[in-house]
Amino acid sequence: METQAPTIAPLKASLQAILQDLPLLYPELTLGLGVLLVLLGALLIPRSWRNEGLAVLSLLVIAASAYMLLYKGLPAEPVHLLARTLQLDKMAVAFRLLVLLSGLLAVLLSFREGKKLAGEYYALLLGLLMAAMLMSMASNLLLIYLSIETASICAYLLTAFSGGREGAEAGLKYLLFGAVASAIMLYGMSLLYGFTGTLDITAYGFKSGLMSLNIPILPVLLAAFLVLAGFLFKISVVPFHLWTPDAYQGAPLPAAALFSTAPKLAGLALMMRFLSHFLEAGIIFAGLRFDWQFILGLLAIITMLVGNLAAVWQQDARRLLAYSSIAHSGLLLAAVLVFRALGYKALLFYGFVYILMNFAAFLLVSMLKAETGSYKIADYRGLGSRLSYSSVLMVVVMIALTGLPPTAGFTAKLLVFSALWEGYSSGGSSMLLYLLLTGLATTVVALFYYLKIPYYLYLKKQPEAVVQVEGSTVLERILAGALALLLVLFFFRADWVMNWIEAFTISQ
Amino acid sequence: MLIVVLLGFILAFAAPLLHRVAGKYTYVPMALAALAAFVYFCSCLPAILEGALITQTQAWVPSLAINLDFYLDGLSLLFALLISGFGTLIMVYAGGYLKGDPLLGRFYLYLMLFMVAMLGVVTAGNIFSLFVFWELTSLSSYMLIGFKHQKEESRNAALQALLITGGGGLALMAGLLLLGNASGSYSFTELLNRGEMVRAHALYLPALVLICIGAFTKSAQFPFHFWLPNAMAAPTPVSAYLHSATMVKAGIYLLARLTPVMGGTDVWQYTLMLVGGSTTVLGAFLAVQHTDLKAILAYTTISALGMLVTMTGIGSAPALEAMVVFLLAHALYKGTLFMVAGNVDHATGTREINKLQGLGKKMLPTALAGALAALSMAGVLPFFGFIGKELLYEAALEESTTRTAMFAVTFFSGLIFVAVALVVGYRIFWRKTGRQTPLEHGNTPLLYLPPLMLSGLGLLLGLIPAMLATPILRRAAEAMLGEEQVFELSLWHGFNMVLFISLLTLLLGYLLYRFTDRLHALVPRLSRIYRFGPGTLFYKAVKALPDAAGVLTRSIQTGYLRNYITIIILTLLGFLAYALIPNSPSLELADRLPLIMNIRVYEFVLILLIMAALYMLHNSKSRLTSIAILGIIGYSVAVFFILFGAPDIAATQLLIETLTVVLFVLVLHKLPSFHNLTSIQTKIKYIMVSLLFGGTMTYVLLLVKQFPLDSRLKEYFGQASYLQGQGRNIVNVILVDFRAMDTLGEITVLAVAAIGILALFKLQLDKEEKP
Repeated sequence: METQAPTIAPLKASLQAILQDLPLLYPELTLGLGVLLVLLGALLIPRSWRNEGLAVLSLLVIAASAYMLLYKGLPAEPVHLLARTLQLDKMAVAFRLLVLLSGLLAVLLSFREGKKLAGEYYALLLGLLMAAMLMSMASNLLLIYLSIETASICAYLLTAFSGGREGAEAGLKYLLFGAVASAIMLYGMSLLYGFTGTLDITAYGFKSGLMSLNIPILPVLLAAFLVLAGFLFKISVVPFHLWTPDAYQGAPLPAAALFSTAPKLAGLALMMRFLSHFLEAGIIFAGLRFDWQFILGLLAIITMLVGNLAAVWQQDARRLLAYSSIAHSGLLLAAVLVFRALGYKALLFYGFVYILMNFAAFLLVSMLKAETGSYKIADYRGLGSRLSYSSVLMVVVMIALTGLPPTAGFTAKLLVFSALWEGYSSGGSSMLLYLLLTGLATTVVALFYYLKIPYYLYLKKQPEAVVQVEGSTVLERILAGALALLLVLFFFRADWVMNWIEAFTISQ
Repeated sequence: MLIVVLLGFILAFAAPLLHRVAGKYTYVPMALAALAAFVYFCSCLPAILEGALITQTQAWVPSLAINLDFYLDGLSLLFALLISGFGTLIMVYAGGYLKGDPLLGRFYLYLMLFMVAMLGVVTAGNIFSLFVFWELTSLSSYMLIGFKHQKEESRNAALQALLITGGGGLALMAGLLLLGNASGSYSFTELLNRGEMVRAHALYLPALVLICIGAFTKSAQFPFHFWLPNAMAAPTPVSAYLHSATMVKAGIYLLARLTPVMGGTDVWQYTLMLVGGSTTVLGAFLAVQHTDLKAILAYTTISALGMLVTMTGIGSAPALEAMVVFLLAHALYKGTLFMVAGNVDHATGTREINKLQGLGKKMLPTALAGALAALSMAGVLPFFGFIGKELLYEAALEESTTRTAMFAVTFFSGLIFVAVALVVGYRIFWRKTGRQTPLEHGNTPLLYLPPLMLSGLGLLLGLIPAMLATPILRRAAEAMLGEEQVFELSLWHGFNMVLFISLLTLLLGYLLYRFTDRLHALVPRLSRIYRFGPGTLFYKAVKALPDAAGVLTRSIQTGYLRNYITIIILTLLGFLAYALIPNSPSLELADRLPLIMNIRVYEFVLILLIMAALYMLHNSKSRLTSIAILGIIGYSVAVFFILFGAPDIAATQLLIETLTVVLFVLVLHKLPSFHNLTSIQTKIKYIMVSLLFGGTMTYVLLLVKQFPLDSRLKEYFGQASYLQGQGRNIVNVILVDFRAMDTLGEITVLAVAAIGILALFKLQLDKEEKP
């Protein structure tokens, strides 16, 4: 935008550059095309196998997108795309892969829920994925806003999609809350644009604009806070988390599982990108250094405390998972705040493992719902002997979510903790130490509520009257087993994941 | 060792399957597996006795330098032999004890898992492996305590044990990480040689505190001791194995293992002596007050664990020698006594000592085992327990600074041990008063052979200690002291002070035993004190946590959107306050004042109008009025836009206001009747929030306006829209000309949004159609 004056002449050139960039965006374009295909498919495929057909179609689209990403979409050097609105680097690729992974799992989970829903459900899932992928590489305030908003709109619709009273209320609250968050963020962005004259956060003008001594620190901080509020809303960090429990309870289960992974991880990527540019400016800024670690660390601590403590009280498995996802957000945010390669690695590892365990947990909740007809944890009483397969897997997954060995959940937590410690002991802010301590303390609380589920499964007596509703399908059983197995496997072979992450470490 | 661990895991998970195939003979393969582990560790004996060190490494996460290391020296081997040997007997015993239980397969799964995890703890070669296995023992213990899951008591005990030992485990991990940081190595091979460095490091104290919490919770030290008696809800094989001989000694092992690194300082000594000593006294004191056989044994176990911690704390060569000897002796006799108690319970259906008498003739082998173990516990001459007791006295008397206290502690627990030994080994079997307790059924060989073997071993070790026990105990003590030791165990030390004390202990202990019943009569008077014990506090804390969580959730997650938004606004204000306080960018109010004062009359009128409207809004009694008043505010704002030269924004605002009012009126008849639900306090609260937010935004805006913004856009578009776009309305030209594509995009977005809204509406309508 700083090259505003001579717009007409280079327009052709920049259009051509945009065309040349397109191959690197095939993954997103594939998803976009997928949205259209699914919409068409919803009309054309006969009702009897529409759900299965659309699910398979979505799987194919996601697979194609992943293929494009892995085999066509890897630039040798970090590049700017689409007139500098996107920044494609290794980090973007890593997060896009994570988003696709969670999308894949979400569709796999949808075989049961999808039957009750209209075909557009899959289109919205794919749309959400596309937006989340764009979020993880957006480097222009406009595109940041657009991608967040696209993801949010898909999420609002998905929340209200089941059509029930719960869903409608949750969807409306989510929408209104999201609208406020978006408005706040947009206001911040407009201020930033006013200060710097550019929307491109990677541009030199952005930095120099912020660093110029003309602007006082307070409005810049205000602007940054306002923008961050939008990101924190997507990551569901306290106090921007208030929509989470209702939305998770109201939304179809696979969609809720997706909310807790794809947009959250993309939001974290966005936050890292934004902060990395902002921090550089902030450090020299007016000769003063503003302690971002402190203020965001404070939020992360509050998030961990509120998420974990509130989870203790929950009776509904979905709300429990919602608060658990809030608690995990706190820890993920802590990993971001290390601001080092180690923290980044830990974040990726945690993100990957978190996807596995979270989807496993949601899948098992859905299986138990099918088998008992209830989401209430109290109704899991004594299922251990009757539904031994789901119950054993549930125990494994809950142990993983708590962060205990022998599951990858432990390795992930350990990595984050050691990154925090490393950051602190090599001269970082003492906030990192407080984060570490809170993380440890809240893990004890987590022990309390996660293990409540195995406690009910195994140690409580089964009620007299047992209602058998319907069984879980073979596919679900295989998927749940595979996820749990992976969680254990990656504990013993954490180096496999680490090797993959090493390949995506940002070279700074 | 890796193979032992892996095979153990595989066998553990195969146990339920095996149970289906082998039925009641499942104990055979399980016991053989444990025996195989025992034999394997025996095969390591020669090398270790030579003074060698066995290590194995398996890469795990090499990029983070986390490996699965094993480390075997005298200390580890002593524990490993104890665990696998005792494990073999327990596997057999459990086969008899739980015969016919439909869940026997699952029981063996947990038990095997525990055994492997425990072997892992004592042979772990680095901090991470140690922690992983440590937590596994907590988990498997949880499963085992809760095995009789029909009982509420078992479930609560299991959860309590898990929370305490699991929580302690986390403290331990933090402590170990600090330790690794202080020493620069996570591997024991290097860590154990860096004691000097660690003790001088600034992190020594926090690491010590955390590690001690981990060890004390696991080994049931005061004030964390209360989970152990409750854990007696587990089946007896578990009590005998986990809660007397092995798992509770994991904390002792850890302290012993880290003695060369962390030991020797004043903090270490006094902490361990204080905690261990008070645990010893407390455990012994509580033991005589109970009448449940297993509870008595549990409290004496706590007392013995306290003694082990105390000895580790003293840290002198005799103390550590006494520690290893007493550890082995205790494991042998206490394990036996638990199994004896289990047999009695199994046969008679009760564990109340007042209901049990004259069982000796009917349960001869069990009674024999009980007698042998009790003699060892009391410290009678040819038994291994005697050697242990002698050494304890010696070590306590040699301690320089706190000799009196240490001696008193040892002596007191010695007395109680004699009394308890008499109760368990004599009273229930041979006392001839009243009628004999009827037996429901006799004991099978599976039940009485293991305790007999264990107690026999206690006698054997006492008779010829030099041959069987000394070499390995010596190496174990050396591992803690870090230097070669001359270590001789013998039964007879001649007539000396210590022997005299031993005899005195026996005598006084017998007297105490005679008064047992009178002591029990006193118990109810003491119960008032226990209301303030750590067990009750824990119970209260566990109850309070969900309540606190509930209060927290209800106050934050009210379900009211307005509260949510208030929270967001207040957070932002908090941020700003935080940013403002240290940096305090000054608003030059004097400069800005003319700008603020420069108000035209009609602006003032508009402000008054808005103010009046706001006041009326808060007092309106009907929905229609409220909407109309909101409309007034909106229109006034639109007029402001006109006044400040933005007619298009004003137009938009006017349109939106009109539309809102119209929409509101349209849906008005669908809404329930109007009630004024908000109280005055709520109103004041929200007015305050609004004032705060408005004030802050004004402040920030004034501040921003104070500095010129660097933008050439106004100038550029001012010229270009007239010269290139041929239009005078700059905004219009920008929208339809310069940014035509953007406008198209916006329209598309609006269209998509409209479709989305339509879909929502449609869903809502569908729902209403089918009730």
